Amino acid sequence: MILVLSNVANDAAKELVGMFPPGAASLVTASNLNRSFTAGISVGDFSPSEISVGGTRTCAGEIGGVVSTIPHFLPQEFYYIEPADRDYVCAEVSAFFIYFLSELRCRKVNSPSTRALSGLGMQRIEWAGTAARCGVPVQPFRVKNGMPAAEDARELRYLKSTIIDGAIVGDRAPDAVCGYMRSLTRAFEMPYLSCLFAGSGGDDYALVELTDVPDVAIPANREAIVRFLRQPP
Amino acid sequence: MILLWGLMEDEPMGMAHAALAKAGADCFFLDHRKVLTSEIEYAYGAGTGGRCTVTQGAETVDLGSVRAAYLRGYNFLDFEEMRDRPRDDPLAARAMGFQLQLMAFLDSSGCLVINRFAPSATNFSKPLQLTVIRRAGLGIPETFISNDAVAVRRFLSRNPDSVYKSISGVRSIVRRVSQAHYGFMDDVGWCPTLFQRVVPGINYRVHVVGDEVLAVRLESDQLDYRYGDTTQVAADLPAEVAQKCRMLNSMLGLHFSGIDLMRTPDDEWFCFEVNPSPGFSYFEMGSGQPISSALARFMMDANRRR
Repeated sequence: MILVLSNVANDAAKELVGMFPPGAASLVTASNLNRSFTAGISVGDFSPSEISVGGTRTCAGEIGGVVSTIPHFLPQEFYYIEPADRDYVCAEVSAFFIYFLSELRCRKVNSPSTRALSGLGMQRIEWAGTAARCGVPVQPFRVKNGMPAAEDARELRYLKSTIIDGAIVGDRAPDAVCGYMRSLTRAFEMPYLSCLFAGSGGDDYALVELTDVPDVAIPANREAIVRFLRQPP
Repeated sequence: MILLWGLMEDEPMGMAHAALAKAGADCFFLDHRKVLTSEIEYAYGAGTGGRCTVTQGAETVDLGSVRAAYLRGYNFLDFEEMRDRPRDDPLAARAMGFQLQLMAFLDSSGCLVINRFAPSATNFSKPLQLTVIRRAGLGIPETFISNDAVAVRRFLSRNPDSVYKSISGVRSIVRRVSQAHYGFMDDVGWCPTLFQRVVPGINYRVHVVGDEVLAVRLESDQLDYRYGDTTQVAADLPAEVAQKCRMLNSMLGLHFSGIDLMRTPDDEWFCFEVNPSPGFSYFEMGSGQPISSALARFMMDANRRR
């Protein structure tokens, strides 16, 4: 069973579920949680714990893969809860899933962290240092009170690159950028990364943005994710 | 320099500040109450790396000079200036931006941070933290989390003397499951809930500061000692238990923590949870354990070393 964690408005997540054989993947959202996912988990004896995904009863250890297309649940997704209680329920469901996804021993795009359902939930200040340390040039930037300040005013060319399971997805990127992507996916231990690079000429690209929550709206990303999850463990 | 970030009227912060001042430490107190008017700027350059400065009033500090930081941020939405303002008010967005930037810079810096955000966040998911507690060698009470009422009833039939509490870090009063609760057990379908077998015994609160372990025995008339008539006594832990507490603190990536233990009549030790931002003042004032001095010493050692 493959779990696709998303929100109810994400049609691409539904398409991703449809790319697996019938019944092999299931969409789980906050908005339909009590219909799409129930569980009784013994902490300390995780794998045999009983769960029900999309009405199919199984055990936690039988989950074969996870795609999380959202970094967080949002209180407004719990529309069926009294407004005053939505923050609390959102915190509880988030805490539950961060634990649940962390304990699964299957392929994950991407693994959760204590801060996010998918990926490391880092800010630019945090990933810039790590990227630079592994030899990836970082575009100079400024941040004031959490907001980006004026960027480099020169005319720059931008290039977006995505890596899934060590392979660059989509359009061919310069060799240097492919090398940066492989270094980054190793450094952050995330099978999915999408990065924006800026260059002023030639192959001298520098990292501008880094995203570790999978964008499944892009067909090539969906196909690469399906290939990744279909591999034997 | 040692950076303190919080509210001086917050007792743990006030006690830490007093201990540092008494020891003559070089401190900068960044007043959280001024978060709405303070400024934080970060610049990353290809050759220079990142540089971050904070301006509060007339004073500007280069955060690169910080060698140790003690952080106890509050919810700025509770500040007087934020009263009647919506959550998406520009002032709130600015304050949130300030906080996130400060945390991001300190988390990615090489200085001693008590405590970094990511390790502290294990407290946002109690079951996740419990798995680390087990790996550190401490026992955990039988724990079940569920949004399935049938499964919960099965757990409770095997463990009739159980409590329930929040799964997340949202503070909740621990309550014993009573017969009355069975009447609305189906409500767990709307919100997953944590159930835990009751472990009888005596509560201990352990503060780990680096390698230093300061324990307090708590004798209370309540299941949740925070809400009862409680007597506190400074205590020594068995060496093996103290070592497991140090290991747990380290495995969680924390430098300072408050660990809740229970010693059973059979002399077994169970751990309920770890607080990464412990309100240690209550325990220092109640037991006399010199927690603030240990904290100040630890930060001053880091300030000298680096």
